[in-house]
Order: sequence, then C-alpha cells, then structure tokens
Amino acid sequence: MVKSEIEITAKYLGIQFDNLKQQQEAATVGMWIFLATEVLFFGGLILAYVVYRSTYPDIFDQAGKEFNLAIGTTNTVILLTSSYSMALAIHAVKTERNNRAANYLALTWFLGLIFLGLKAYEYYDDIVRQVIPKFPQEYPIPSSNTSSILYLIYYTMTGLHALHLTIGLGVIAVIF
Amino acid sequence: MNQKTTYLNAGTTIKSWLLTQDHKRIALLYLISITLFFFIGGAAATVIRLSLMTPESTLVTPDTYNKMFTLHGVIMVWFFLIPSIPTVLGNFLVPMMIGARDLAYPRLNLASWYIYILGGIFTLAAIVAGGVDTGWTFYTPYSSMFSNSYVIATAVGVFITGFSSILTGLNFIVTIHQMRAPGLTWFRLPIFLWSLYATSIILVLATPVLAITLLLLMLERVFRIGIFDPALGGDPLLFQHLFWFYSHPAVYIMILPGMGVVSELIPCFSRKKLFGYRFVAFASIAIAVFGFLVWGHHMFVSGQSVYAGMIFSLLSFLVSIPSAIKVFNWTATLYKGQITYSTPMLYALGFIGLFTIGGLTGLFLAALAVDVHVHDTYFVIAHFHYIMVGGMVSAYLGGIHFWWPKITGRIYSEWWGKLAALFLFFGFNLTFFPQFILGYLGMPRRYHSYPPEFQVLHVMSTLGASILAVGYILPFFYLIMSLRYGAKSSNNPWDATGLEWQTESPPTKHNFHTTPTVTLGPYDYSPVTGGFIPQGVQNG
Repeated sequence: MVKSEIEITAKYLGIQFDNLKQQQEAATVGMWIFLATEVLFFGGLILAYVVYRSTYPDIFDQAGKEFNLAIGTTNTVILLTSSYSMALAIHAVKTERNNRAANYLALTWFLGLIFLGLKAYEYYDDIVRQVIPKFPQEYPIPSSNTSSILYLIYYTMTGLHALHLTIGLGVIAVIF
Repeated sequence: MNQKTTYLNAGTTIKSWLLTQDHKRIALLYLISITLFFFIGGAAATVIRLSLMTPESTLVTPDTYNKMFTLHGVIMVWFFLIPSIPTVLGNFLVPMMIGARDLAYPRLNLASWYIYILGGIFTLAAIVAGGVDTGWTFYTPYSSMFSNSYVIATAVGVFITGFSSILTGLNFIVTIHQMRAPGLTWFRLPIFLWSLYATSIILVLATPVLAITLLLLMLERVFRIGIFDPALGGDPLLFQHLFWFYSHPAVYIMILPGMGVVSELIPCFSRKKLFGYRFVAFASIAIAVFGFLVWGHHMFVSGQSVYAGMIFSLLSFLVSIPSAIKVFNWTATLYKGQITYSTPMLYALGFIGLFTIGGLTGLFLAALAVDVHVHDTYFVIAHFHYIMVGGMVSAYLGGIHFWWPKITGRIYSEWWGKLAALFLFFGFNLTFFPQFILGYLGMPRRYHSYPPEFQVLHVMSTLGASILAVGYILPFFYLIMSLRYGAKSSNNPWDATGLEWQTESPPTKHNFHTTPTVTLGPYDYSPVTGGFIPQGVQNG
C-alpha cells in the first residue's frame, strides 16, 4: 500500500469497518435500500393518483390540460440530463479523474437549480391562473367538482419531489 | 481494585451517553425509552380494564374511554411493539452475533433514537393537550373530517417515528450483508439474525407507505379536500388499503423478532441443535414476503370485491404454513432434549403455546364467513393480543432475561424471574381467553358499555389483567435490583454457542479484542452431555 492510501484509510475508515472496500460496498447497499423506500413512499401517492384518475377520468382529463406543458417537458429533460451527469460524475470518480468528476457534480447541481427555478415559476403561473385545489364551500361537494383532488395530489407529489431535490442539492454542495 | 473496561464505564458523562455511537449504548437508550412508553400504554390499558368492570362505565366518560383505547393502541404499536426487540436486543446483538465492532451506520443508529424520541414527544404532547379518539387505525373520514381530538399531532408523531424504523431496518440489512466475520456464512447465522433480516425488509418497504398515508390524511384534515372522504369525492377504501398495506406487514414486524428470540432460547435450554435450521430460516423470509399480500383480510366486510376477499383469504391461510413450520420445529427441538426450566425458557415455552392459540384463531378470522360473525369483536382483540402480548411480549421478556447477564454483567434473581414468567402466563390467559368467548357471543370492540350478561367474563378479564400487571412490574424491580445486588456474570453463563457469548460480560467498547473467526453453524449443543461448541473464537 502506498503512503497516501494509508493516510486516506486512516482518515476516512470508520472503526466498524475492516477496509475501505467494505465501507464503500456498505454505502452502496444502503443507498439502494434507501431508494427502495423512496419507491414505496411515492408509490402510495401514485396509487392515489391512479385510483382517482380512473374514478373521475373526464374531470382529470380536463383539469390536467390546465398544466403548463412546455415547462413540464423542459423540466423532464433537465431532470434526466442531470441524472445522467450525476452518473457520469460517479463514473469519473471510479476511474480516478477527480477534476472531471467535480465538473460533472457542478453541472448536476446547476441543472438541479434550474429545475427548481422553473418549477417555482410554474407554481407561480399555476397560482395566478387559479390552477390550485379549492377549499370546498359546501359539504358534501357536487361530484362534478373533484378537480381539486388532482391538484392536491399534484402539489403534494411535486412539492415532495422539490423537497427531495433541495436536500439533494445541499448534499452535493457538501460533497463539493 | 482493578476494574475491567467495558462499554458501560468507557465514558460516564451524560454527553457520552446522549452522543454515543456505540450500538450497545444506543440499545440501552432505547430500552429505557420503550420501557417508559410501555408503562404509559399499560396505564391506558388499566383504565380500559377497570372501566369495563361494570356494564355502564362509572369510571370514565365514553369520550375518555375512546381516548384511552386509542392511546393504548398508538403507544403500544408504534412506541413499544415495533421498536421493542429490534431496537433493544437487535441493536445490542446484531453486531455481536456477527463478530463486528458496530453496525454499518453508527451515526444513523443514534439519529434513529432521536427521531423516535421526537415522534414520541409529538404523540405525548397530543395526549397532554387532550388526546385523540380515532382508534390506532385512524380510519377515515372520521379521523380526517369529524374527530374533534388531536389527530394531526398524533399522526405527525407516528409519521416521524416511522423514519426511525426505516433507519433501523436499513442499518440491519446493510450490516448483516456486509459485516459478517470471516467464516460466518448465511447458513451459519443464528436464526435471530434471519428473523431480524426479514423484519428489516418489512420495515424499509412497508413503513414509507404508512408515512404517505398519514400525510394524505393530514392534508385532507387541514385543507378539507377529498382524498378519503366520500362526501368530498374521496375513497375511504383507499385509506384502508394503504393503511393495511403497512399495518398488516407491521404485525410481522412485531412477531418475527420474537420468533427469532425463541429460536435462540429453545436450543440453548434443551441442549439440542435447532431442528430444521434451513426451514426455520426460510420460514422467516416467507412470512415477510407473504405478509405483504394479505392486507385485504382486514377489509372482508368493507365492501371490497368478493373475489379480492377470496384471494386475500387464501393468501392469509398460506401464511400459516411458515408459521406452523416454526412451531413444529421448536417442538421437535425440545424432543429428547435436556430441558432446563430457567426463566428465559419459561417465557419461550409460553410463547409457543400462546402464539399457537393466537395463530390458529387467526385462521378463523381468515375464513370469510366466520369473519363476518366475529369481525370487530373481542374475538379479534383476543386473537391479536395472543400474538402481540402472549407472543411478542413473552419473547421480548425472555430475550431480556437471556441476554441480561451479557448486557449488564449481572445475574438476576432466578426465583423472582420464574415467578414473574408464571404470573405473566396465567394472568395473560385469564385476561384474554374470556375475550374470545365475549367476541364470539357478540361483544364489539371499542365499546365502553355492554349488556349485563357479559359482566362475568369482563370481570374475569380485568382480574387477569391485574395478575398480568404484576407479571410486568416484577421484572422492572428485580432486574434493576440485580444491577446492584446481582452476582457478577461469567462470559457465558448459559453455555450458549453464539459469538456474543465468547466475549466479556459486559463487552468492551468494540465488542471483541480481535475479530473472531467462525468455524461452525449455531446451536452445536450435545443433548447427551449438555456440552456445546461455540460458533467461533477470537483470534490470538
């Protein structure tokens, strides 16, 4: 083992681990399990969406047309691109090209920021155009007035996603 | 005097406890907190039982009664049963049983305790503010639209505590995968670890669904926008599906660790190899997997499709197969063993009997037509208390007694221990067996009053509960007494085979002086001589 490796090991190896490889693998397994919990977490919301979409197909169809298609599409592209640059960053670390990795991390971070900016504008636009859930004036509500369910699910899902993204940006900033 | 350095005296400041990353100290933090919650939940149960002594409650108002059974359910499920064995015995033993120095993520482990405490504070605050009356199941739309009690604070408490469960489960899975000592293959793992592994799978996959369900409930309650209330266009069945998708697997979170403990106790105190090791190991995984597919049996009378009901009924029957495999294998292990009736063994034998009754009555409930008759009656209450209290609490106390010498380095009073175990067994049966009959005769759950002809059975149940209470309070005292007056324990007082017994009692900060090498599977006991071969030894 060269000296720098010994130093790295001494600095970063947790006392519970035998070597860096074990520590690295533990982190990877942990991350996959965390992702599994996220799938289930959002899975519940997606299920709710599916149930109400099939219960009120016409209202969901109509109310869904109110969303800003251009921003939604742009943000999807940005999101996928930032995932790709994150994957490239990991690949660069594995092949020990640290400068390149740093650049990809920075790119990922900025794409995330742009996403959040666009999303904020989209929320603003939605609110101005009254694409928001309405507090019901009457109880029970008339069955034609269920677009609020779609909007509530929409804001819950995208809001939780934005929260995740914000935490993600914080984590990248710390790594950086 | 030359005192040994142990994890207990490695630091004595409050900070060294509250900021510890040592899995053993975190286990003790959990032990103290869940004991506190257990007695709070127990106090609520005491009020319930006292109030049911008479057909018309003279002790508390109907509203208070509703709050008491809700408090009892919420506290016992989320703040005692689910964390109990995993966070106390699991935290303490997982690294020791696999020959590691700590869990994979010590800081997350500490964080999980703080999250648990934060959730507990929210829930206790809701109780102090005036309580919640929805029942632990939070059924909508009552909880989201109509209840005038502190639903949100309670739901936030449960929501937060869920993340502590997720972190514990994640930590165990990674640790068991990555940190086993040399030679410790999967099929050499003690069954306790297989059980905790299966439990952890459920913890990480089911708990997020509860979190999202409670979040939706809170949104509906705050904004009055229909998610679950049919009058607002929502679907109450969706709530029940989501809730039970978590809460039925959660039942297995509560019982699987207990099965793990019993699988350690039975071989040790019969001096025999566990019968059918691989079957018991895979049965744990099978229970975890099937457990995800049976939630609809809580909804047979809810108006779900009759075909869904039939499938859920069939799948529920299938869960009994791995459960029965375990019961048969424990019993076969006893056969021709050299049995010692020590305190942990009394709890383990009690577990087998009570779990069997609880499990078999579960089959009554899984049968569609029978369920219509006994649904939402005391029959259900008796059934799940046989599993949760008769099973899980027995196993928990059995485990606490078994590993007490390892955890504290002290031996408790065996005489008092046996007495408490017997009090628990007889008190439990007197409390809950009459409830099967009550339920079959038509006594609905969650009612504060009842027809006078049910009084005899209710009085029997209350009498049993007071005996049961003695069974709980006794260990609290003699275990604490043992810290001061108990004899010092040797490293391996039970002559057990696990790695945790091959190091000091109490262990040093990092458990082992050198990483042990494992050469054998667990439970290498000889029923003829009573001897044993440990799974491994520390090197050097």
